[in-house]
Amino acid sequence: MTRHLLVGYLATSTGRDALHLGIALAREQDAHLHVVMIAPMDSAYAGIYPPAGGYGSILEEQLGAWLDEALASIPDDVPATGHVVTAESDAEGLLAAAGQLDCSMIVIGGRSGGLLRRYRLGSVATTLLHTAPIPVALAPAGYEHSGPVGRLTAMFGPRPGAVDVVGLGIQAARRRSVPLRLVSLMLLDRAEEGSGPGTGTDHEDVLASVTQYANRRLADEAAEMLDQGRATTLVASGPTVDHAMAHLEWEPDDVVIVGSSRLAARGRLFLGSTAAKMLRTVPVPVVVVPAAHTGPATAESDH
Amino acid sequence: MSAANTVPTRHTDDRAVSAKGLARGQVGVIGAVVIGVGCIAPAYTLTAGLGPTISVVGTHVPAILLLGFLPMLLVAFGYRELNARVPDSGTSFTWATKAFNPWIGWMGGWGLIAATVIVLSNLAAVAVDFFYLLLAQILGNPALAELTDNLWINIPTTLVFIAVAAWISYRGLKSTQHIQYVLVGFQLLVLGGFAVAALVQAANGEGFDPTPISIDWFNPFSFDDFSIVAAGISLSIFLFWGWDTTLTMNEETKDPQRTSGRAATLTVLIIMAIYTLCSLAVIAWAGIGTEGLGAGNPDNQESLFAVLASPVMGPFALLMSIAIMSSSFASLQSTMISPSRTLLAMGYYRALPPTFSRISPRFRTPSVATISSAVAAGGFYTITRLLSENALWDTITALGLMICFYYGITALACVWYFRRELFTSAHNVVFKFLFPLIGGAVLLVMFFQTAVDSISPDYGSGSSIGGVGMVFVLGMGVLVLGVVLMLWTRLRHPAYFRGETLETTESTRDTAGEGLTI
Repeated sequence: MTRHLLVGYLATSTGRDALHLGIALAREQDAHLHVVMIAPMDSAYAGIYPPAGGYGSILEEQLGAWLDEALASIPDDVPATGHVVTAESDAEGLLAAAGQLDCSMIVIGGRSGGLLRRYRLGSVATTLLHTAPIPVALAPAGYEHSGPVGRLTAMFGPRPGAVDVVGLGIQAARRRSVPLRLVSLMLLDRAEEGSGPGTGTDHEDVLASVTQYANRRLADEAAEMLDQGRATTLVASGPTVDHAMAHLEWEPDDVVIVGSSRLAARGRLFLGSTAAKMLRTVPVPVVVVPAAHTGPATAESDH
Repeated sequence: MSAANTVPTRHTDDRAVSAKGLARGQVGVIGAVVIGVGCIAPAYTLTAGLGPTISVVGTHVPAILLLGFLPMLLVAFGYRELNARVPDSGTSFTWATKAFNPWIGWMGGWGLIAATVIVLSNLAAVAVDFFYLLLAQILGNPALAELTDNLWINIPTTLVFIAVAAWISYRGLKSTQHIQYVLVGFQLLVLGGFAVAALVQAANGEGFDPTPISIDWFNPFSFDDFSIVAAGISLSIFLFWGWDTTLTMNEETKDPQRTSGRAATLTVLIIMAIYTLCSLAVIAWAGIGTEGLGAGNPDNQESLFAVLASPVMGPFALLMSIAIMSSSFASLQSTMISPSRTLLAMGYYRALPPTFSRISPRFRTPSVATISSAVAAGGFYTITRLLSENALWDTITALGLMICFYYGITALACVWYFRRELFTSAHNVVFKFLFPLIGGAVLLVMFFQTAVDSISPDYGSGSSIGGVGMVFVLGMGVLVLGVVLMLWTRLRHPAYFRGETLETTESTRDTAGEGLTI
């Protein structure tokens, strides 16, 4: 079945980052890219006076030209369609388009670079990360990898949502035939509670964490992949997220999967503080998965 | 891109959006009235425009409001006809180009841009005045209110206000329904409170110069000098500017057949009521004497409520400052969008250097055009403030002049553009021919009369340069600057003036419009 991926595009470096990630994710997959540009819509209450109709046509002509350039830059092996969607806000327009086009993921370039911006998500990314019912992929600033994805890293911890992260990681690694890295993220205060293992790469420790934080069935599947040499494990621990993340090395073709916070309503994203901190330090694309996203296949929860 | 299996295609997804990119069917009558009153921003127009109007017509403000509204109404019908047939971001510019020729079209567009730029500078200045007044009221330190008289503080603060409004527009942030309801409700409440307080006090003989209200103030035939009528109408056009937005609302209303007509009627009744009430209250309370708190005192006329709110409302004057400052700033921000879109359209049709048609890739708003509008408003304000002690007063009068100019051209453009179908139906005879013709002709006559009168150094506030009235210098200076820029553009970018980008035509032959509107 063809998967549909939505790319939230802008004719800026942020937009090109998103487009590159969309291409990388769709490469060598049965996937169709929908490149969407949002035309900001005037509310009648904006009180624009004197009234000037027809502005929208000039705007859409420009957006269309930008969209054509973007489509022309997509490699021939990735099928793509462009859309100009009118909406009052970008996030609202992207969500509505994703629903209408039956997309399973929204790809945006929310992580702007530069010294001052390094620790900030754009407002569109922030809104999407708190409301989207489907996974949101964030491209890091300056992302240029042209795909396909070479390795997946599923980062999970004691927080709820691990089941979705591990579940999606296993599912996607199998579909893409790429290695999966299962990383148990341990902040020291929790590690000291004795509930988690110490720093190391011990399969047993990570599988125990999968059992504890996700469920036994996923742990069994993970064990099977480990036996076949298609998965590796790592425990990343430290007093802060930054320290813990320093244990990880990255390849340009990596993609990371993280979960959303316990605050999220079921089926909605809500970016937790740990995930937000991870976003700052990870140099590769990050896919944020909403709680209870993966459905009955993995939701055989043990709590 | 040519691979057979992966031809990229492009769609414009129509998601319940009208030709103008507006949400369809969202606004009811009440909403449309709120939008109309919000566009007029009565707290701002009254404080800025009532003083100059009283200085011209004395006690007969209600009469001149009735007279001034008529040409506005007539022209608005022509505007609505054009906006329905040829919805275009360039509005007056595009329509006058299509109907007459590129030269008149260019000047029509320039008149619209000049009017909006002038009002931007005035809105910012009024917002700044009341910002310092509000600070003084909150902190109980009257000295703070006088800061606005210091040019070294006033001009930079005004430039900051304009820059902030431009930044908000550039980011594509706009007023919401909630903000508009609060702003409009608050303005009407405070203005009503002021009027009632002043009228009650005047009736008890407690005002500064209690003046008995006379029915003659309402008599439109009480003027014996045409110059006074012309000046009064120019000013009252400024007071009603914004009202016609309700008439041009169509697809975004819940019932396109009826909503906009009802809303326009209701809006004008509300505005007439609040204007009449406030002008009666001001005159009855303060009289039109030229001393002290009198409404005829030139020192008070720049900003009547800044002077009168405190003595009339006591501690509640704080609310008046908040109402005027918030409505001025909201208008500053929303008005900023309009000239930027007209400039964008003129750049798009190559009537200005193409750089004006640039759109910000990030925010998808006009970039060069928005910055230019803000720079022009800031520049205009700085120059007028340095040239004239009564900058606010003179700019309001010059603004009335400019509105008469571009409205007049627009109304006549309506008649000429539809010239082949004027008599095809009774509707057309009235709304495409008679109304715009009369309204446009009246406004252009007012324009010429006011322009000629304003040569006198005594005109308006009495400021003058080299023996020529300030209003004339400002108004004609702006128009002459337009002519110079037009000639420069003709030399550097002749395509538009050769009719290559926007063809002069008439309604029955015009096919370009269909391609331009989505």
